[in-house]
Amino acid sequence: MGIKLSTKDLNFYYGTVPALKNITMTINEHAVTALIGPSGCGKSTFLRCLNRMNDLIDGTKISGSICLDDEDIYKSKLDPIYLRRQVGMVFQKPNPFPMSIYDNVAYGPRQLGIYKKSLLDEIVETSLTQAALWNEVKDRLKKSALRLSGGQQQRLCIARALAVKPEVLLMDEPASALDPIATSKIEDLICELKKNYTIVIVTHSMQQAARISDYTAFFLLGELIEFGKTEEIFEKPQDKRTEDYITGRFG
Amino acid sequence: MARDNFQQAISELQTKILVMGGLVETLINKVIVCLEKQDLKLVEEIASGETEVDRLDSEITEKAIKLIALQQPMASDLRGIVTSIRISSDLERMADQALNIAEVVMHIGDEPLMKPLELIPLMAAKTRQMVKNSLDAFVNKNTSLAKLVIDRDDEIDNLFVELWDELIDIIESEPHKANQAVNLIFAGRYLERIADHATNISEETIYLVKGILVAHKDPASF
Repeated sequence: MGIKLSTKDLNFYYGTVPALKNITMTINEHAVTALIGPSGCGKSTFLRCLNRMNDLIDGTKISGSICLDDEDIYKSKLDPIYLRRQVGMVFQKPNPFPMSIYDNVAYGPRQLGIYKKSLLDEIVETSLTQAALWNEVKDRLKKSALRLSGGQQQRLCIARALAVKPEVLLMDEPASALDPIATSKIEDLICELKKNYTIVIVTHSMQQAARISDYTAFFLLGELIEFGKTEEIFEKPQDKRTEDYITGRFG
Repeated sequence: MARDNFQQAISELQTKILVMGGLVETLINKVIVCLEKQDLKLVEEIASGETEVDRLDSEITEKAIKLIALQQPMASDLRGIVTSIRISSDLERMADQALNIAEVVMHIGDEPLMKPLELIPLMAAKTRQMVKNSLDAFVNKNTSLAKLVIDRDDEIDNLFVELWDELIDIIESEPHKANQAVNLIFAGRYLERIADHATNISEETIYLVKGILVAHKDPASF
């Protein structure tokens, strides 16, 4: 299993406030890496650094390096828009566009200049199938995406992210707004998607991290406290702070 | 400290293990006296003690399963609960074997012993010490003491082989003593199994403290 993403001495500031301190970490390809930690620990900030989403926030500063494969995503002349095509993102709250199911998935490819109907049809079907949604929506592709349930909307957002053929998928608490059945479908989907994609997920649910991830990183106050195989982190963490957090003794 | 109720529940689980451990130690002490003195009056006490150990085992297992289902324990909490289930099961088997020894005494009855017991009291004393040390190691999370118990298991195994050879010789040379000799072989075998369970408890203690599964591994490797 190769390394897909790596950070070295990554520091990130909101104004003068440090949000990430010297994060050095690797993310293996075709694996699920979970980022856990209490609110404000920097896990979502770290996730957003991986596709330069933080560039959109004024007054932020970053140092150190982040490499996608062997290319430094901040130092190279890589277009952030192109980077976000390679490193897609799914957010906590499903955010389908107010248009049809089909158009939601076709939106990205069209932005990339794909207009041929047969090709778009193929991309829409493949993406919806990969997102385990095709069978549920194939007869109503022209209906509004806003009429789907919360769980279906989130899978649609995943299909939309997959439609531009990313290599990495970043997920920021993708199931926290969903009921247990929809959550379980998203979790099954994540386990399926890792065969073709590299997935990094922020989650507040320790059980979710334990269930679906191969590697877990524990963040606290902007520092990476412990990183390792999920089974080891949850069975015998090496750092007392990790132990205290995952056993709920914090505070 | 957060999750106070959960921590309290884990602590209660471990207290129950200690109560159970104390009962099993008492049972083993009684059964050794029962065997050495052929004291049949103790058999009933041992049987009722064994019933109480069974009840505690069920109680501990139920509580532990409930904690796993409702609290989703992680890390040392998870190891603590899994260890409690396994140690409870070991203690329950030790009590069974103590009762089995008492049944051996009943089979021998008041028939005079063919010769003064030598190897069995030696095995019993060492086994009793292993049981005590394994429970002390668990209570104090003392992995050095746990390892000591694991290392001593071979001594009991060797004593059992010696006992076996001695009693088989007697059966061959004096067949009329076979009934008693077979019963004494069983008693030795049950003591040897009790020592095995003390070894298991020590292995569980190492898992509890270090998170390393050491069963079936060379003691030199941990």
